[in-house]
Amino acid sequence: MSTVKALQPVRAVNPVTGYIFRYGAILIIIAVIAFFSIVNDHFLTYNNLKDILKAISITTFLALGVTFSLVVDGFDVSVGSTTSLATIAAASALILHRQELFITILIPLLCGVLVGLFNAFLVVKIKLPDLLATLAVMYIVNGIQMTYTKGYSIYEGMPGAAGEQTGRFIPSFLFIGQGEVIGIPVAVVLMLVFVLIAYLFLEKTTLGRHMYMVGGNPEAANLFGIPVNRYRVLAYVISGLFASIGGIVLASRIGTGQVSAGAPLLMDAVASAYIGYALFGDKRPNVVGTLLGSILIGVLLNGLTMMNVPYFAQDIIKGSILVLALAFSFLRKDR
Amino acid sequence: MTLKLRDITHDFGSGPVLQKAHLTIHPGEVHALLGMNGAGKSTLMHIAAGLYSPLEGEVVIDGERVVFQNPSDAVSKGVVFLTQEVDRGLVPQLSVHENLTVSLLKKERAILFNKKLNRQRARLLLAEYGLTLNVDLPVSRLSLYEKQMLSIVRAVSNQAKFLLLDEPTAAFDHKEAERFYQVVRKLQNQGIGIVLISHKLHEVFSLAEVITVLRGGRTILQRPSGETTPEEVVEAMTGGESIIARRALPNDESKQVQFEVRELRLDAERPEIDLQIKEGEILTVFGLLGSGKTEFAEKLFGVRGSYRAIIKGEEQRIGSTSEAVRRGIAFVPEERGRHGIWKREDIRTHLALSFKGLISKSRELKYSRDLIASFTIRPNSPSHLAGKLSGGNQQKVAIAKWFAAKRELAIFDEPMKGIDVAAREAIFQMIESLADQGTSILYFTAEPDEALRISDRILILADGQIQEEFDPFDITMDELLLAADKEAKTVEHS
Repeated sequence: MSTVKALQPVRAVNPVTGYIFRYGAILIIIAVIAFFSIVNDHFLTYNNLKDILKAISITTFLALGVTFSLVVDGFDVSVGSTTSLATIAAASALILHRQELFITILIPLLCGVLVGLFNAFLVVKIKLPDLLATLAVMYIVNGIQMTYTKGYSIYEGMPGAAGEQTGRFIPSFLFIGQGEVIGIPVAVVLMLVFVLIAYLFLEKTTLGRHMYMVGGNPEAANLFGIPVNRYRVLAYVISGLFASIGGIVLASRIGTGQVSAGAPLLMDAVASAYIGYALFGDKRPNVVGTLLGSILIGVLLNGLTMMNVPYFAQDIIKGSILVLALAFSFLRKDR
Repeated sequence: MTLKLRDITHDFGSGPVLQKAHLTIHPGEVHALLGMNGAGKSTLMHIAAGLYSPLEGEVVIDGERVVFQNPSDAVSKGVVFLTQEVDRGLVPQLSVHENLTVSLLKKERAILFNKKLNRQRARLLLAEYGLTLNVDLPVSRLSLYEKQMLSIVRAVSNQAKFLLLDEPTAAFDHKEAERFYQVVRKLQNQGIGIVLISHKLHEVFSLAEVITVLRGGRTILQRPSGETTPEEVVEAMTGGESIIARRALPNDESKQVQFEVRELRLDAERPEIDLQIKEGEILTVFGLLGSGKTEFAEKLFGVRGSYRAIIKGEEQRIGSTSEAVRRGIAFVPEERGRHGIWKREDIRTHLALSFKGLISKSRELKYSRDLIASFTIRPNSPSHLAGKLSGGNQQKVAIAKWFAAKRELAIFDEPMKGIDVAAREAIFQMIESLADQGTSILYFTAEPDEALRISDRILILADGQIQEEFDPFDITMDELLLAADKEAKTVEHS
């Protein structure tokens, strides 16, 4: 009914307010960093910035997964559980089965792919609503890793059926989460590499473009001969893969296979992806936005901790920032 | 009570849509409103229903001038407009009785909701019009016919005095149409005035007392149906033929058959369809609304299950849209805004959509600029969002997105729907340039002027079946419309 609209006067958008709406979320990030830099001398130091990036590296992997599911207009909340499962899988391969690096990385990745395929099966084939399907999978996967470990963490020298387990966290594996290359943590390098890969895939290849087209208008995509369901499956598999990479890095970082270690990361990952979605006022899930969203949350946590704001109060501020970022993009009138 | 639309003039900024159009509806009268695409029928109805206010002219009820600010003003004066999209006014998850009594409930403002009583009341209302419906069924599970009837009964139970119906029978089968006619007669007896927009001439002549024909926004003919003939009405609609520029006569008889289907079934009950189309040929499938046009078009594009086609002499199975595209079939769907474009993507993304591999922005920009220039897409910036283009330019983009590769067959489903006159000729030329490159064109339409403008050959479709073939150079618009109507009529009465 475009003709109906034509009758109503188009409200002119003031260019200044237009800019504020478009770049509002970025302004918030800059403002937050500026604020912490002023109130705390130690905030803008190399070591602190390194800490922030290290802290967000794992969450960013999960957030990338969520971003891919958002691109095809889906949603994946199972990434937290997938990360937990991958952590346990990696630790189990090392401690219980004494595997080398290759298998130790391969098994968790396979777990991620399987969870992604299962999500895709529920959403694409059985046509469950994405949030509900992945919520159910979140419970199932969480249950699987709990059942497998009987609720105990997997660590070096843990007691087993035949005495003490002799497997150990090999140094090459620990290097992933704890090592540094020329003063930059390996986890941060990995994060940046995968952000770059995801960015290039989504923005610079026609495959990524088709993925956006599927999310933007599935009927139109189908009527252009784009295999809509294949792209949706692909997105969920990629989401599972990213979550499992997060799990590998996590296992390596803490050097044990902690149960349900990924669960607390879920909400930060979702928040990062949604801040990214709102970031340029475009309501478009995108990799750069997700990274910046993740950085914003990392900066907030770090800065607030330095200011001695108690952990439980930080969630209030996190939530408020998310509301603010989303509001800027949803209040935008010029599109 | 009479509803009078007096000297209504209106435009949307690109030339007049209505010029002093007038229409009077008396109680208990069925008034048919006819006209071709873009004649101004729906704009006039929108004005009567308070969706637009006219630039000039007035709406008069019972000798008193009324100004509708919005549709609910019109409803409160007893004027109800039911569009073809009947779903719009109904709540799909709610039951029949809740939908039916929604405004009664609003008026009652009761705190408690007596379901039993409400069911009873709904059953009575429906029975009054000879409808037996399970009142507990959610509306989403009703057929189109049942939804249409439900909307009508609801309007009448709300003291509607004038019903404006936009092609209500388009998707009905003949039994449903018969029952609909009975309801219309009953409404007439109750003193309700009805405006009926329809393309089915036999229906118009058997139901309506008065016929009004619009052309180019003017009232061309207004006469009691007993004093006119289908031929006269069609002539008033088309205005003779001098206005149509035709496609040049095809001169090449040696062209090979490029696309062929044999014994294609749209569904189990329908008869088989055979179709042959030559390289570079433009074949129009002419069918009124409800003839199975869109189903046919979608079937050929692999939207409705798999089928076998012979493309350039080779038999191919087409089981999905992506398979159809791989075999060289392109499709421009009827609902451009919903199915043909991505409103939030820019023009470049559309035009370069079938590119493969890495995205090279500079290459795509250059390609887009070339295409934009040759099809005069306005505004001409490749970074303009498709959703902000005018209807005509959106359609140009929706078509141009197929130009990146050579296609064997391009299917167009009502490509001129809602497109202004200026853009039409440009789009015709786009289609012809596709044909000149050797693409076979299948053009589905219900508009005779389009059929004559673009076709090399015309097939008449009625009830999912090809009925007749015409040479566009041997037939006039009037004859074409009458032929399609005759076929529709014989099918309905068989």
